[in-house]
Amino acid sequence: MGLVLLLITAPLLQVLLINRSPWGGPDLVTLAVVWLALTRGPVWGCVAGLVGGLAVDVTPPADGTVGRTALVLAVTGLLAGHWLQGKPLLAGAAGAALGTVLQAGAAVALGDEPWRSAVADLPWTLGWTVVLGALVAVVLLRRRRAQEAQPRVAMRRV
Amino acid sequence: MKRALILLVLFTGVVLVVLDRTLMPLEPLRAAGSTVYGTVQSAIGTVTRSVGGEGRLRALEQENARLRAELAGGGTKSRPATVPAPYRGVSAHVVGFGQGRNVTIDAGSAAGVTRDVTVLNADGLVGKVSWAGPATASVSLITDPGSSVGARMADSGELGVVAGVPGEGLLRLSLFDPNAPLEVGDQVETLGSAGGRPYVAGLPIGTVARIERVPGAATRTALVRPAARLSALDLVAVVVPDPGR
Repeated sequence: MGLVLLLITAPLLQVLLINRSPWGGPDLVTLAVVWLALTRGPVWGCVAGLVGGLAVDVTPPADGTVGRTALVLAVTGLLAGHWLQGKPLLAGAAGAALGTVLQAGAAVALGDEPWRSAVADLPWTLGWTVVLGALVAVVLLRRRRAQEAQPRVAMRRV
Repeated sequence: MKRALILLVLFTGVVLVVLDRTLMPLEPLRAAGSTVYGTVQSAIGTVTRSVGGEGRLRALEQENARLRAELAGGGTKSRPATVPAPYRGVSAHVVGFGQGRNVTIDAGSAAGVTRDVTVLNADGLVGKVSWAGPATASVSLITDPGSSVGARMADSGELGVVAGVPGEGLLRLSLFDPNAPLEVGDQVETLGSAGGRPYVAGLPIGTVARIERVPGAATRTALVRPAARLSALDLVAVVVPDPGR
């Protein structure tokens, strides 16, 4: 539930706080999509990608193609959900990296941004997103596995 | 079932992109985003301004008053940036910052803001409106690598183009005459477009910070530091065509 809330408010936090920081910052929506995909599976990731991406596309001051981020993040969520079987650290990092790079690629491919500016912004965003994505993915998956283990114990007691 | 849902989601994404690119721009979706997310941005901007310290508020109010006075005077002084006479100035606050070089302002088409009009602050040119929603508008800054502004040297009158440099807060000036006189510290102004859209004439863009010497180049190039501090924008004015004239 917390992650869904993060997904809805992420575009706002991004334009109000993170993009103001002089040291760059993570791409919050990509992170929310990847974390949702890792905790709830590929279908959730795919739907969350479409919803979150669409919110990014229409949150001012975005003036690119509507649906660009939605499509890219839907693919990211789908793939990240499928990587759930691997190590959480790797899955989180790979999902975050994929989402960030695909977004920049799509912006250049659709002509919304010149490639120079896309490349200039990429390293900082990529670094922040991958590090945060990997670390929180580990915490989330550990907590989820603990939660999955608990009800069984409770049922045995009853 | 799962596979059908995934295919549906991906298909929706593709349809959105294709629709927006080729058939018709999805303006209702953008307007909805501006109404929902833009209004929240404006509200949060208002709240942070009101709790952001008395001195800061007073400084902004003074700046606002000065700008209004200059607007009323019709731009008698040439150096500080003012809205030229045949236009109307709409004051707005910058409330959101995009990943590229674009920002959100809290005035939209309801206040008369339209596409491709000049945005300035007290120091100089800021950018142009790239999209106007109902309650907010997106401004693409002059440091955006995709922007190019017709420029004139304030002293020598030489003409050129100012474009954004990716990754830095600087601009690149290219003068059309390769032998034009150019020195560090020279002032660059806007040349202005027909009808004042997207840029009105005579606004300070910046000062020459470094001259680039490229032997045999067809144009004279230099790096320009913007007159307006684009990383710390707050109060701006939008130059809109005055319907009364």
